[in-house]
Amino acid sequence: MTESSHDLNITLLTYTEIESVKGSIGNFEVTIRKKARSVNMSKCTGCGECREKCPQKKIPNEFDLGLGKRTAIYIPFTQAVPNVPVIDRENCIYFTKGKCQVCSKACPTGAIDYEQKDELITEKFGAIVVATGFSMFDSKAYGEYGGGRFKNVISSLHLERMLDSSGPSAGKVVRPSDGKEPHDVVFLQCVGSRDESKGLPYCSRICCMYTAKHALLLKDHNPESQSYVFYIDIRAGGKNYEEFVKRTQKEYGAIYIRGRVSRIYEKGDKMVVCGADTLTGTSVKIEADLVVLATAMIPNPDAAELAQKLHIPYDKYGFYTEVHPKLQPVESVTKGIFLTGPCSFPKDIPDSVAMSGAASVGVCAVLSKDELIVEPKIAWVDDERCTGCLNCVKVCPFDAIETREVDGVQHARVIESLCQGCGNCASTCRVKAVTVRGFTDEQVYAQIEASMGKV
Amino acid sequence: MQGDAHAFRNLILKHSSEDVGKCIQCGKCTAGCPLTFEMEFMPNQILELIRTNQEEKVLRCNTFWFCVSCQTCSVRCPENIDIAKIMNTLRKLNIEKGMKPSPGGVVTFNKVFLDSIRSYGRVYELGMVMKYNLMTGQPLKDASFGPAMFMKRKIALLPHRLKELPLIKTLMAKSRRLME
Amino acid sequence: MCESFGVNLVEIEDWNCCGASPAHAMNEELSLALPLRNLIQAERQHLKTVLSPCPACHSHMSLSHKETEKNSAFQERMKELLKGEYAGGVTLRHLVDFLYRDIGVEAIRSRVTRPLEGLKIVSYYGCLNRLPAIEIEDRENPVMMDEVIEALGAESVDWSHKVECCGAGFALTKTSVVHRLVKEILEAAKMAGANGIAVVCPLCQSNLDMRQIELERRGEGPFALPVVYLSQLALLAQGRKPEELGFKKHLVSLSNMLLALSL
Repeated sequence: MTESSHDLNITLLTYTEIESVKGSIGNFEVTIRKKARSVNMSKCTGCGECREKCPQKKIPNEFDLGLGKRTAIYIPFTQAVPNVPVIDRENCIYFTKGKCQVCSKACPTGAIDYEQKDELITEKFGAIVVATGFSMFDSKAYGEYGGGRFKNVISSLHLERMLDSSGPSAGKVVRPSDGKEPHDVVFLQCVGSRDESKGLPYCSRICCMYTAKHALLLKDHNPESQSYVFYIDIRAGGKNYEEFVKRTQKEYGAIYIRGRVSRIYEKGDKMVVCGADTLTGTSVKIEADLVVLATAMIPNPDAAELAQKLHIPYDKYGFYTEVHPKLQPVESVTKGIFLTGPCSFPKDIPDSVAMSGAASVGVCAVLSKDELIVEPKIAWVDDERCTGCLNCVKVCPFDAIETREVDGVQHARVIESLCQGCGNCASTCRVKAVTVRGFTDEQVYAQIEASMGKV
Repeated sequence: MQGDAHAFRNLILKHSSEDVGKCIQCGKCTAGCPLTFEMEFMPNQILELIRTNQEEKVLRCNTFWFCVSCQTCSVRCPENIDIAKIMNTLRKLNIEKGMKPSPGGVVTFNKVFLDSIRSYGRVYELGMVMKYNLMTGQPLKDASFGPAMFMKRKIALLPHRLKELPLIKTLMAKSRRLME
Repeated sequence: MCESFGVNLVEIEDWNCCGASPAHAMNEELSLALPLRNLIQAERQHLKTVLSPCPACHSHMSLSHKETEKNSAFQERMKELLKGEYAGGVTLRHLVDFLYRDIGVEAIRSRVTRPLEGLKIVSYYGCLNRLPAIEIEDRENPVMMDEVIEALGAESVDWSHKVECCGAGFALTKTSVVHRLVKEILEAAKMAGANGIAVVCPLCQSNLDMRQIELERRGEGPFALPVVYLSQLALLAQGRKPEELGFKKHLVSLSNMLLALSL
């Protein structure tokens, strides 16, 4: 991250959102909203005095999923790039009550700017790479696992933060309820994943491996602990992955039990986990000190909204659609926009890195040419027939039809670089002014007649 | 397992509208079932046995007779399979095929209960319990509760007969065990 | 209790047993026909709502009602067997459903003259929450009974066995099963600090009450957890005398509970 922030050919715009995207491959016009940090980036030296002195210290830290606290003026995590803080206006004493301003007084360069506003900039880009990542499924949906009510039932990401030596508990895994170190820790795989009843029938790919990692690290950080992992199948298809899982069991003593857990309840200060061992055909009850749920990888909550802005298609879950899952995995259906990482489907680090390399080369291919070669099977408008109702403009999912004046009337015109040949316009046009090349009515009828042997 | 490999699975599908093929053997049903300590085969194993066409083994075991229809399995199944319904279908298939139910007590009780309805239209608890106890060779079971139950007027001494009893009798004679 | 809320209860004439679990297990048509006859009788008496105290009866009647709605062949067959037709005009409710949804927690609260302070009650739903026939927001952690209990002035204690099976129909056929399950439930209630268990199913009441005595006789417990119906609690909170509420019919004595209320 730090390297990329220093590279002369890279401009890092952080704390920003995409406002709108117009245009097409090679000629995207993107409006970006630079949100107000309340800190002047050119003056800030990253000394951290403001954060030290801020009196508002009790805000649950989002990065630590609420396990730790932060101040109102903050940086999201210690290695954040750039090292410039932002003021959380909803929790800042000055913005909510009008008093304080301690950060401004503490700042040696006068970088605090309470009047700062959002800024909108519009720039042209040749290609776009989407690497927006993923979110974690909220296990509240499982009432039988406590539905978010039990303090000692946490998600894997919570555990990950605890295992981090610069995290909220300095690397020691502790029970959120009383801060004690847990002895018996139960891990549940597939919480949300592979579950039709929750609408997520897919496998989230990474959980089997990171759970094995967690069980291993847990034993390392808390040597007195004993881990139990409830699984359905172990997916370890990667270089040295299978061996790693075996090692966790053999050398770090993790006990793997094949079966899903039906429910978890509190008994005194223990969590009773009611599971099954399908290999021996028995019910299994374990009294745990801590339970860790490997929750599913899901698209970000605003994934669909972003896709609409970018004019890229997405599936029923919200994962972005690539041209072909095997043969063209890094190109979105919309030309000039590339996909990498879990935004198109759950994947792990090696695959994300590989995809990013492929996407970068794809971008180079776009930017190194002056002309674009497109598929010929795209739509075109016959000006003789077009009545200017412009219904086709409304139904085009790629915003690939523009209007232009012909003899005083607005006619439709297809933007050839954007059109994907889906045919929505052709089927909508009431006067058959729009057709898709290669799929005219005459051609389709000819195919039907040939297949019925009427040639 | 040869022959029509899907015969039993299809039979269950026909009578319960549930397809065991959806099952991924996650074991959540077994994990939540309160009666597994009495069962010969666990609920997930029953589904696997159906899927692999092992009709005899399934219909002769005691698992579905110990199902109490609490629906815990059905409500929590990730594939939305109504396992309790499958268990109910197995009970009816067992009787329909004239197999020996095990344990017998449950079927005896059911028959005695239904006999009471046939005779009176309602359940005459005293008569039913006495008949059940006699038939299962435990005449004095729960007898200690008898006096208390009478004194507290929780059960009646004499049965009540329905006015439309003949209709009930005909209904019971003609009703079909398994609907399509 | 219904009278206290302005609801007039009428017994269905010549009602028959719905068949409950035995019919459900042995004969599909019978398990649908027996409850259907009750619905036909209800319509003959021009009754608009049928209130069941028993979740099984309610569930089976709902199933029959739904079957007549979606299966016309079934309607025809039932016409033949029952010599009567169900027009589908009856609303079905279980007692707790009715209390919570139709009467409402506020109305219940407004009728309370003797708040049940001192009572720590755990709500035992049993398998009621799993029935598709009853609309519940959260099937794993239902709150209908809890909210009614709070409205009556008692403390509704949170516990781990709200929806665990009591053994139901195995009451007579495999009593050892009921013993095992009831013991777990009673222990959980005790651990939660309750001095009473509220139920809404006659079979649950019977299992938790009768078998509690048996367990204590064998040396388990002691539990001393009276098992009361929600309706009894409601009437108690409305100022009715304990003698009028059938408390003598309970096997586990209610004296501790009444003591806590200074009665």
